[in-house]
This record gives sequence, structure tokens and C-alpha cells, in this order.
Amino acid sequence: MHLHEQGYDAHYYDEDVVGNNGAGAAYDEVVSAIQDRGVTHVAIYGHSHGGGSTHDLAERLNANRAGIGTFTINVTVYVDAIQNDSDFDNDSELRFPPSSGHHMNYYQPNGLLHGGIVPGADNLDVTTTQWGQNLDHKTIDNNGTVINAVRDRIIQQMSQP
Amino acid sequence: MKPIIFSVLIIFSAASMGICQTVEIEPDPTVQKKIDEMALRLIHASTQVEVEESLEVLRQFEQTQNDKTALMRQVLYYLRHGANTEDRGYGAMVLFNKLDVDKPARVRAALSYLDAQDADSRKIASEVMGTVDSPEGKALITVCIENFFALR
Repeated sequence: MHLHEQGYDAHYYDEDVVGNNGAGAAYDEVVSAIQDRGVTHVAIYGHSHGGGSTHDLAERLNANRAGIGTFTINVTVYVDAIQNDSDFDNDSELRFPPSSGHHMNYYQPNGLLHGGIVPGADNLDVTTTQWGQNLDHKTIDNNGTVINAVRDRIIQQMSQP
Repeated sequence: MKPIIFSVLIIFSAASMGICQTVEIEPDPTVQKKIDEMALRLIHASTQVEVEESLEVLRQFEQTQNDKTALMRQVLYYLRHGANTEDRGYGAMVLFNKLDVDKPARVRAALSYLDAQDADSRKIASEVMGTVDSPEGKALITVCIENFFALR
């Protein structure tokens, strides 16, 4: 909502909208934004399987960029990301999103579903902080500090040339 | 060429009547209750001790279930009808992943939902099929044929 109010061409999707090859309505929307609405800077973020879909979408956009047009993926964000090869995928998403200019990764390491360190990213284990020490996979995406940090980082990185 | 084509047709015909048979999933209230308890326990396990305890409970439950296809059908029914909260959804996702059920049993269970009336059930079936096909790059029909020969 805040991003909309600031004039961003923002869209929200269920992670299943992104196939494990990155194809789907979210990909089509980004391509449409670049080709039809003059968008040149892209940000992608997601929690849990949405983090895995963030990787898959960035990967497809990067692979097809020659046919899409001119754009940069300024920033991507994982929040306790899980790979999304299927609805039953439990693997932590630890791959850096291809061609992302800046990757923020907030995760917690406990339980059977958790993210982890992504090489090359700005990583934070939230359980090492006072505000996030009790967060788990189910609650991390609803935490106000996490939400604000993601929003602020996206706005900061999208203002970069 | 004709005998070869004929043989292939026999295989597909048998597969469609046997291995790939669609059946209605009837919920077993006792098993559904147990799956629900385990799904919540798995997703609420935070410490390593809790994780190991929850997995041990799952192993013990599995040992009481001789028919893995029937067990998987109950899990699919739970995914469709029982996993109605965020906790239960995540828990069921972990439970499915941790169950020691082989691919043929997964396929047989998923076939129960392949031509279901509602899209959510068909999506569950499709996702289960995906867990069978993806790791080794085999097409589903290959798995069906392999199952057919394995059970002859």
C-alpha cells in the first residue's frame, strides 16, 4: 500500500503464480510494465515459497532480458526463503537472485522450515536481534520491523541510478 | 511394427485400468486427527530437540501404517480439507516432505485427485506428480509403466 502511495507500479501475487521456471502472470506483468509502461527498474521480494519464487522470477527475467527490453533488477528481498520447485519443497532458498543489484536476506534458522545465508547478500539472522529473537518461519513476515525494513530498503535501492 | 504397437497399446490399456485408476478418497477420522496433530507438532518444533522428537513421532506413526498409498491418500485429503490455517498448511507441507513414502505410492495416491471436480484437488495432484517427475527428469507416464511392470 505504501509503495502504491509513493507512485510505484507495485503488484502482489500468490507464489504459485510463478512457476518453477519463473513463467506465469507475475513474469508477464513485469514484461508488460517494461514494454508498455516504460518501467526500467524492478524490485522483487517474497516470504517462504515467495522467496523461492523471487529467485525463479529474477532468473527468468535475466535469461530473457534480450527479448524483453532495457531494465535493471535494482533490489531483491528474501524473508526466510524456501525454494519453490513444488508446493512441498522444504529446501532453504540460498541462491542469489541472478542479476540482482542488491539482495537483502532476512531469515531465522530454527525449526523444519527456515531460510539461511545467501552468498553475496546483505544477510541478517533476525534471531540475533532483540526485536527478532522469538520470530519463527510463520511469524517473521508479519513482524513490523521486518516489514518496514523491507519497504525502506526497496525504496532506497529503487532510488539508485 | 504392428506387434510392437499392439504391445504398447496393451500396456497403456492396462495402466489406465489398473495403476492409473481414480478412486474417491474417504477420510479416516482417526488418521486425519493424527495427521493434524503431527502437522502442528512439526511446524511448531523450534529447538533441535523438539524437531527430533516430532520426527520420531512421525516415524512411529508411519510404522503403524502398512498401506503407504492409503496413508498418502489421507495426507492428500488433509491437504485439501484439513490444512485450513497457516500453521496447518506449513505443517502439512513439512509432513508430506518427511514421510517415507515411495514414488509409486505417491503416484497412486495422486491419481485419486487427478480428475477431481474442484481445481484445488487437481492442483494438489499435479504438485504431487511434480515431486515424482522432477528429481530424475522422468515423464509421469514412464513412472506409470514402470509401476505396471513392477506389479505384474
